[in-house]
Amino acid sequence: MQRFKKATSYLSKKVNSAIKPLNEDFLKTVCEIRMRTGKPLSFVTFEGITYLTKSGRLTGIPNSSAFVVSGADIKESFQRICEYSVYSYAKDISQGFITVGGGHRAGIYGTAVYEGKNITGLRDVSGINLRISREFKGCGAELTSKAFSENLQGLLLCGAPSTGKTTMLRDVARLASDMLFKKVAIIDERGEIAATSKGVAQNDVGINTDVLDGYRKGEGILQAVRTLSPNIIICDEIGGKDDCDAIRQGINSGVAFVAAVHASGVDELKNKSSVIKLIKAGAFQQIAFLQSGKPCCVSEIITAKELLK
Amino acid sequence: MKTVAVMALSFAVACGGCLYSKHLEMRVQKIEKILIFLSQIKTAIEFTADNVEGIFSWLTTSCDFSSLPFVAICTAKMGDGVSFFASWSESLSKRENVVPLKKEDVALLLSFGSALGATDSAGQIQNCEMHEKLFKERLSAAVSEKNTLSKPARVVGILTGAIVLILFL
Repeated sequence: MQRFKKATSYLSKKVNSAIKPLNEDFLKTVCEIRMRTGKPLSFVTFEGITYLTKSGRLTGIPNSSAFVVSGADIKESFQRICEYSVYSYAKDISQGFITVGGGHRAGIYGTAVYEGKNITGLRDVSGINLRISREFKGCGAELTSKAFSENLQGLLLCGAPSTGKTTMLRDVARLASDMLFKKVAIIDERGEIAATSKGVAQNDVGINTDVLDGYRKGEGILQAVRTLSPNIIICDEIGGKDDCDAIRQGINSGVAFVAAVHASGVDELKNKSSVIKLIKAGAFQQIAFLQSGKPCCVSEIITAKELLK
Repeated sequence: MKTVAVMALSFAVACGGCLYSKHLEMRVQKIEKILIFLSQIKTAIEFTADNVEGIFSWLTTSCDFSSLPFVAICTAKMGDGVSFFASWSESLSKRENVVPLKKEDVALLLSFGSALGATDSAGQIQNCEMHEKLFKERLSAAVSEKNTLSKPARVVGILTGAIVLILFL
């Protein structure tokens, strides 16, 4: 609950005090808190969407008694998320999210400000989606033992959003580092895996783990290979061309990769040509699919050969 | 008894003049310190992009701003979880934290704080530079006020004290 309280402390005072009295068992199931200007405050749980009423009750169907988020709530929450220092988060804001203390990710949207072809800023923030990050120690034990039982080999985690890919990666990092005594490097582009704050990882990612916080995956992978001699490199949400090129260079150096990708099933994964090319190149020998609606639960593990059949 | 009272009165009048003179000198020193403070914040934003709380905490621990007590008070309040602008306003609201600054100086500090952290780096640097410029203007006014009034205030105070002493004794 401490982590949840830390996450909600970034929301406006009014919203935070409305959430505080809610039942702890319910709050434990909350994956996302969604705030939209002039719309009811909602919680995304493993089961679905729930709304809060003015009287503090929870309901599945929003009506006139719903707790409505005001523009002032959004503005205050935005300022809190930026720690009253918008300039510190300019890059993150232009990418649409800020990772706050504890590794929670606040998705932010409003009116985009373009300079040429790139989004350089955001004005009139109209909505915030606070994704709650959790540590489930041990959730990756079975997967780690299966994937690395014989030797170190590449592992790709596939799953739909909110299936626990990042949580699983974090645990695999910890286990590989502390149980298998491997040198692990995490390329934590969005700061979600280790949740580094002032140089200290807020999440337990293992004693033999180096965290490259804020690095772009491509650059981070190359730097790790060049300077840290890792046995395993871990990165989240691969798919970009630069990421794939860097992974290809990494496998040539004998590093095993553990990465996650958005794909709810084999068919969706097969549509991701850059990832398939990596699998063909031998970057991942094992592919694990996470179950939707049941976080951090592996539904199936297949080999690269089986996938490419 | 009368002699003691007259002596005390003349001493008080003389001290009043000297204190006013000191007050003018201290205001100049404080504004000079504020200019250093603004320049430090600008540098920190430009080169470290640390957040406001981090910058204030660094300024409080690593730089000597003991003559600007509102900086340390604001840092402590932020450490207690109060938002930056609320901490800044509260620390400037108490007279003892800002003496001998004038109301206009305090208003300028409040205006600086209201924009601090609210925009991107370019906006922040402009905010610092604009307030540096405004404080430089206030500094030159304070210096000329000190040059014009400091010495005469001290002399007038001492003379008036002496006259009181002569007249009543």
